Amino acid sequence: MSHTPTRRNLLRAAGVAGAAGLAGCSGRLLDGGDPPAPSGGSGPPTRETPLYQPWDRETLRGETVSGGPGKDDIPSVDDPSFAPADEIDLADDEVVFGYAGESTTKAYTQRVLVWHEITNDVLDGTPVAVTYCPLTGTAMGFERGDTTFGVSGRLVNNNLVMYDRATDSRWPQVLATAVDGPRAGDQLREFRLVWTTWGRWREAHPDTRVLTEDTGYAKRYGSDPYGNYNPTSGYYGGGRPLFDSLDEGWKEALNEPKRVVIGARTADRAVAFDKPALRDRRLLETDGGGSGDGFLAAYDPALDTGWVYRRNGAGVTPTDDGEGWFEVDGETYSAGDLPLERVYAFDAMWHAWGGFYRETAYVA
Amino acid sequence: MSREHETAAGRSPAAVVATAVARTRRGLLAALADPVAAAVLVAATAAYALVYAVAVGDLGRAAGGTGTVGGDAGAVSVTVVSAPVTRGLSGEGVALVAVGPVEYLFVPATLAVAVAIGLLVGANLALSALAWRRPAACDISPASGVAAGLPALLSGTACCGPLVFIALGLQATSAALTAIAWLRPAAALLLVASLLWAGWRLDVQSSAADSPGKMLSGM
Repeated sequence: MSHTPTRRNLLRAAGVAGAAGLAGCSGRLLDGGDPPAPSGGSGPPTRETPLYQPWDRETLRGETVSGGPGKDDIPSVDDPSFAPADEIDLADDEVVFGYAGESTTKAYTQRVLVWHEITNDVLDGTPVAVTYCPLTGTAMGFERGDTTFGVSGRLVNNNLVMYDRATDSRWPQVLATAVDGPRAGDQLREFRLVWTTWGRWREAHPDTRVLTEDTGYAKRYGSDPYGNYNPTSGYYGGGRPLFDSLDEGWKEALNEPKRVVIGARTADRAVAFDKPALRDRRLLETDGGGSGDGFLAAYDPALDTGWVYRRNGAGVTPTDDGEGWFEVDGETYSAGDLPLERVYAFDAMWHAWGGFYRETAYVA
Repeated sequence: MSREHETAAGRSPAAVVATAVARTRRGLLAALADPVAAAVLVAATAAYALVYAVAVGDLGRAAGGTGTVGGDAGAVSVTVVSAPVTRGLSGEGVALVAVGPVEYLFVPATLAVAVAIGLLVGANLALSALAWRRPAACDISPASGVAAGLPALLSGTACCGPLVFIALGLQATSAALTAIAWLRPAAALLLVASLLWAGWRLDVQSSAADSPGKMLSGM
């Protein structure tokens, strides 16, 4: 099997730096969902190492547009409730965003998050925000400290712009960087959410708990205003993004705006692995500039996801069984446990990734 | 014949509007007294509110498979948020009603808009029905009244942004978003204008609501 990657720089220009009591009826009263109160503190904690940020803040502020709804018109879930897997009636092909930590395993359903975009929760004792942007197909986890995040109602590059309720600073989700407000320039601590399906997640984590529809809000969960993932249709299935991209150079590499890539960025670069290609080939690698360095993505068929690592010269080959096992220096490892430095990565629509990271490598 | 029955020529705009309002008021009172026209008013209002609810996504097929196992699976379920009055006033949905395969999200603000615009559509159609019912009166096409109510159906829902762009596969722009925000008031203005025009053309003496109406201008 050939593992030769295709790498293309999108743009090489130097550019900008960086009632219920009826007979036979059922009724219930939803608690919570009160309007969010300002939270104290100085805002969310910042990451220790810098994150690739190819746009200056002034440009990003200028490119930020109203998405239609106002601030908090898309309400975050601030008091989420969860149920064990065997108490939830959820189709196997429902999209969920999974977190498996030291002592906590949870699945956040896309059908709920599409109406809220942010859930403020606590995972393994750490206050976090689980976020989802339907227009860019991105699910990302952030530490939030003693504040909570809300939906500003504004978008940049079609991406959710969050705000923290301590300082009202504005944080585009994918960039994980404040572009406006007192915390401008600060970057968030991220954690991985696995974009997968309920059936796969439950199989892998039978002890998982699942976000329920008891959010405190009355919504038509299950009626996705943007389209459908089962099968993929509507906005998710194709066509152009809703708003212009920050940069349109991504079309040169691949003019399929809604194609899913698994994107990773470090301090100085970004790379996108084509997810359908990764499914087919199980291993994708960047060329590393001939130094043996670079990145690789290993396909995990159990969760239908990819894990991204720094290659560091290691020889990695998939085993022949197609079960998501890889040989590294004579030893066999699962896709999610290679003995390499794992890099934070997440699923994204190609237009969103390419729009933000115009000099990204695209590997297919 | 009163001065109202004169043509608009040579009169001030304010006087024309005042006359149109007076004639429209008499026409609507006559329509309410006419069983067919009144039925048209009620049916059109209800139908518009229904279509509006579907258009903005408040009414539709229940997706199912959403609750916890062993949860309510009866033919009817009602879920109400806490503090519904406060939250209803702020524009939020306050209750989700599921009846068999259909569910309805009760958003008081949205329902109020739907009924208001629906009443304007219904009033337009009621005057058309009244004209049709009275041979002495000239026809008033219902088309303009119905057409004027269409823009509001494209205005989308307050929760999810410019869904019409997604539905039509169009690219959204700031200008387009601004235009979308004006669809509902534009529809209301068009409907009021259409209603006044119909009232101007159909002048019905309130004292003779069951007598043939007379066309007094623009014939």
